[in-house]
Amino acid sequence: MSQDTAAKAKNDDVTLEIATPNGSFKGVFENSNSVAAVIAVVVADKGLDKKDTFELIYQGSALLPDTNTLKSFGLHGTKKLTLVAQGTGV
Amino acid sequence: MATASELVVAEELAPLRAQAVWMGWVLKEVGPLKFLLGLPASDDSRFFLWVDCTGYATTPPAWRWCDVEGSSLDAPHCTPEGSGFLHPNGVVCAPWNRLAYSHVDARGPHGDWSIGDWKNNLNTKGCTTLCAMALRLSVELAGPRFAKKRKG
Repeated sequence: MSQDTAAKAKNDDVTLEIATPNGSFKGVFENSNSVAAVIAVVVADKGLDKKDTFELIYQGSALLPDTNTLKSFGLHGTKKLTLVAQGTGV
Repeated sequence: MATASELVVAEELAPLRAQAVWMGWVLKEVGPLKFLLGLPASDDSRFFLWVDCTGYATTPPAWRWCDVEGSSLDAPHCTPEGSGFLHPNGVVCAPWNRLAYSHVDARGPHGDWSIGDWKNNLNTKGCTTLCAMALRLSVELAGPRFAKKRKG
């Protein structure tokens, strides 16, 4: 990998610190990853029930649609998010 | 000897404690089955909930809005105005809140839910632990369903 490529790869990384029902998670993702892909990694890592549908929350808003990339939501650097089971109240 | 509820709550309080530290929440445990939780809101204030886990997990906990001391239960000035989980009746409207059941609390919007079946209620979704419930409420107070004001 050239120095330019290495630098680019680093700039494309997003460090996510995510609060989950099973404790906090920290990981580095390329910003081309979809939100759904990140959720899948976190759900598996934290042993959350895969039958539940989760959403990632950033600054009070759900990152939807979750097929969009991290970059499309303007996420870069280090960000703190929350993973919760989907729901709107009833 | 600890009761079944005390054992479950003790187990579930461990991740809640860690999350509270990480998220900057206030968490004060008052005996084995009750705690006070303070959550930040998008209006830069903090809301407090008095959580009574008596009978948990056979029945869900009771989440009641209160003041910083755990007093003034259900008072309008302690209750967020909003929609969805932040029900206009002043209760957290979810199968995982005992007060959402009309046979438990007159403000409870739901006479159609079975409290003993709260974990299987389709609206419970993944909120089956104390930490998951607390996270859900923290998201609601930070999100668009909170009207950024109190009921009184």
